[in-house]
Amino acid sequence: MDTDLVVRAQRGDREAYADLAFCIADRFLAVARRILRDIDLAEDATQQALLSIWQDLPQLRDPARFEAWSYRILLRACYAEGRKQRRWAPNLRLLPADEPTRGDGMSSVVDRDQLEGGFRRLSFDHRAVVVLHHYLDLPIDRVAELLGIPVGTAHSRLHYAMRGLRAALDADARSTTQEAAR
Amino acid sequence: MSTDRDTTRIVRSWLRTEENESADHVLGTVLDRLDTTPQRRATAWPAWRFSEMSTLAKLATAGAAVVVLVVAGAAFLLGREDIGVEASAEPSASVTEAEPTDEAVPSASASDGVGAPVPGEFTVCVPGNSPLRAGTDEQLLVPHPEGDMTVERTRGYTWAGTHSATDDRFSGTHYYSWDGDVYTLASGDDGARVSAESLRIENEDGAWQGSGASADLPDGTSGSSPLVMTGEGTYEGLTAVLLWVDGPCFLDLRGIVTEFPDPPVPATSP
Repeated sequence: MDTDLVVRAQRGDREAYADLAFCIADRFLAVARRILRDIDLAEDATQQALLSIWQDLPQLRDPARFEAWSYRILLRACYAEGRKQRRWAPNLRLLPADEPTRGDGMSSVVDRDQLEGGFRRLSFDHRAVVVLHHYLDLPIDRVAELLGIPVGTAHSRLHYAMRGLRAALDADARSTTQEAAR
Repeated sequence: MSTDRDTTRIVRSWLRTEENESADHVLGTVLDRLDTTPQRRATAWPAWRFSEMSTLAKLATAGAAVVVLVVAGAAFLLGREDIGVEASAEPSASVTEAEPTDEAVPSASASDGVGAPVPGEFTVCVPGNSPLRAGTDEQLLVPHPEGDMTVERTRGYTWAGTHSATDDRFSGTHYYSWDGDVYTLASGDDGARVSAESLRIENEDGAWQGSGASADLPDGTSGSSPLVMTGEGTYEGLTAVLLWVDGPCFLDLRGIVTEFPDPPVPATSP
């Protein structure tokens, strides 16, 4: 991230802020959507995060730390939006039933459903670690830094989350096997 | 049964093949609102930390801040010398105003233009370090009427390294440990979080040791206690209160040192 842009935005330069926001908005929305599993909530969280960044930029003491700082603001906005809607409305984008098996590891629509269900059962803390690590490809120590938690806790959350998702996939495999046996 | 590697591959693929919407209209809304959204000027106390506190905690913090400012201001104006105790070989040391010594880590209040630090105030920046000792992480199930809660229990991680402070008495080698419990409801909602931490700072003149705790409740109420550190060696007889502040370091703290031999013990008889 261009630190000069950050410094100018800190001083109230709206053009600099607009350039900064343009650079991060799409990625913020993608991360928020994956954590919150709802596009409307994700848009609200992204909007709130971008406004908070503008408001609080003068308080950022080290402009070089803008990226980590801004992600923490986004994650807090996600938590806040998530709390507003404790009960989740289904937001599955179901694919056609005859969609062929993909070669990229997503074996079926059923996998997606199971993952969606398993992911929604995770807390926001766990979802955030999974998305930052497996979607943004951030190493786990960087994830810990972004979330402001010890590296051990980030490892622990990732392990717990992946175990839950694996259990969701395995539950589906078991039910498919049982149905085939009948 | 899937393997860990299968699960990782499937999860990564699932996250990456999801549709990505453009944030253009979100960005448009945000830019339209800049005219009516003033920036908050830099303050010593980060806005997000304060906004997460309960009303009671805000009142208590505001009250404590007023008391600290009044006491410090009165002492400064009256020429008292019992705030900002200088390191000395004697526990009953004569006292002088503390002098910031490390310009590489400026005081947050000074750098933010809010005002000069009060006597005895200092800033500590502890950089990130690899753990000195890896702790344990485990998941436990706790019975709950609405379904078993999960507790992620982290114990025994310790970090160590050297750091600097604006007051040399707080520079040196640090040892920081953190324990935490994260409760998650059966529904997947956040239950509560509670953590405790200890910090020890050692240098050739003595040491400081103290601890603090924090809690987040499911309704969003949260708070962190300051680290209350008592002095050892030439710092014996002194107590430092360190507050968590936002900043670029692994641990960012601002503190004030004063002459409490120990936190007072309440009398149990008249």
